[in-house]
Amino acid sequence: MTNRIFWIAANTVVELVRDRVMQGLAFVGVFLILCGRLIAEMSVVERARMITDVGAGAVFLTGVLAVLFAGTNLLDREIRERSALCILSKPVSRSAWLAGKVLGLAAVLCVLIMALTAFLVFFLWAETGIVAWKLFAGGVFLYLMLLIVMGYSVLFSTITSQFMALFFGFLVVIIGHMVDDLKIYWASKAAGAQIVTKLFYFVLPDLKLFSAWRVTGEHSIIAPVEALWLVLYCIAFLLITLVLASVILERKEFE
Amino acid sequence: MGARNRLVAVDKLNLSVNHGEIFGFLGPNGAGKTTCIKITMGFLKATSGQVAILGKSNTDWRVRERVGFLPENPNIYPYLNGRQALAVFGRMFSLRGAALKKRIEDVSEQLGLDRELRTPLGKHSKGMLQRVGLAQALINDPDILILDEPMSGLDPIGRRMFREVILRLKQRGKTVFFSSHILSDIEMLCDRVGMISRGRLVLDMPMSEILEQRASGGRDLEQIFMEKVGAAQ
Repeated sequence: MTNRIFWIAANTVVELVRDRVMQGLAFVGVFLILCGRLIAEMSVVERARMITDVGAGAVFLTGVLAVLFAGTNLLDREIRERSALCILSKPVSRSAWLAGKVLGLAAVLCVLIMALTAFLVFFLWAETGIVAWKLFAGGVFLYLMLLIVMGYSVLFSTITSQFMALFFGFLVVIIGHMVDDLKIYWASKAAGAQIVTKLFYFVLPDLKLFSAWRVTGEHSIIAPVEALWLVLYCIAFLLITLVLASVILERKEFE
Repeated sequence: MGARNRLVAVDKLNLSVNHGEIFGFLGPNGAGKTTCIKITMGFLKATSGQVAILGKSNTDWRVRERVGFLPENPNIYPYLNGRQALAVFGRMFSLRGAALKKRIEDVSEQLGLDRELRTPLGKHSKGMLQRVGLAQALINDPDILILDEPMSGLDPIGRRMFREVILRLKQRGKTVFFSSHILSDIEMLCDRVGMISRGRLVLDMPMSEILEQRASGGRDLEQIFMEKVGAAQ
């Protein structure tokens, strides 16, 4: 079964690499990084800092858009276009199919984020002469965050339409960056607000933990233990969402 | 089986296909043929009842090692060419290297696909896609072939070629179950015919009996179809 998962993943990589939207997003990412130069010239902030800020934002935005688009489309497109019927008529369980598709997307995201980060490092060096290797650490943590968002996107796509899955995916990214702030509402007298914020707090991941600036900022160095903890945090959320998605997929009817 | 959203798509259907038999599943549009096939393949769940393939539950994915399936109007990865798509499907049966290459060559030769395998599937005509669809169903040299409207979209040459492929499979002892609403194809190919109308099986009869009836001046397949299906409609 491992071999079959591998080949499904390989096919997913081909599918995503040839996808026009994914190609377009990669170009947008490069373009936004290049915009850092223009913004740096108009800004009073230190040039290197500005290029890094704009570049890290560009990689983040590209990654989030790519994972939401591809994650919600990953199973939905094959089910909608009925190509899933051909692959699932082979000796492949639905869970294995899901695992292969997810692995393929994870591989493409890894290449996308690392390639954009490498371009940012090169661009920063070309513009300022600074070699900022630590940006790669930021790229790794951004990738971990995107894996969590991928898990949620795939889960939502098994429950609802692609449009709604995309909407919920965006909510996860937005609320996921405010999870820690939700604690403020726990003291609220309104019972509804308490329940909703507690629900979000426990169900959604704290995506701010993976913020690139925690590792790329001037005085911030992430401890190895904390880094390991973040990897485990990512794996836990990814496993939970994908196991749920797999359970739902096993029960899904292919009309 | 097959009730959903209050619409009973298939009801009280009891059917078995014997080893080495070509079974034609006949019915008008919307009769429930595709629903039955999707239930058999485990894509849809029946609200009650059981489906077994080779004596095992249809929900056991391992049973599909020996099954080939062609969905209605197959839509296969448009970004791959035929050879790449067949390689993807072949690998699902653990075919590798020379064995995979040989198998792709065999099925493409059987279906007259040699040159077309280099063209991206997104650029193929409906008929050519149907052939590639049939090729992917044959890639594992299955013991049982389940085909949903396999003649759909095929030109006369394609239909003739398809009939020859099915007859060759029969000679090799394979079991073929296919749905169609084209009576002449069923008449030429099948050992047994099942007719479904409004989700109910209205006829299950050996083709030899139908041909005998016709030879003795009785009803032919079309008349039986109109009688059974027309009455139910």
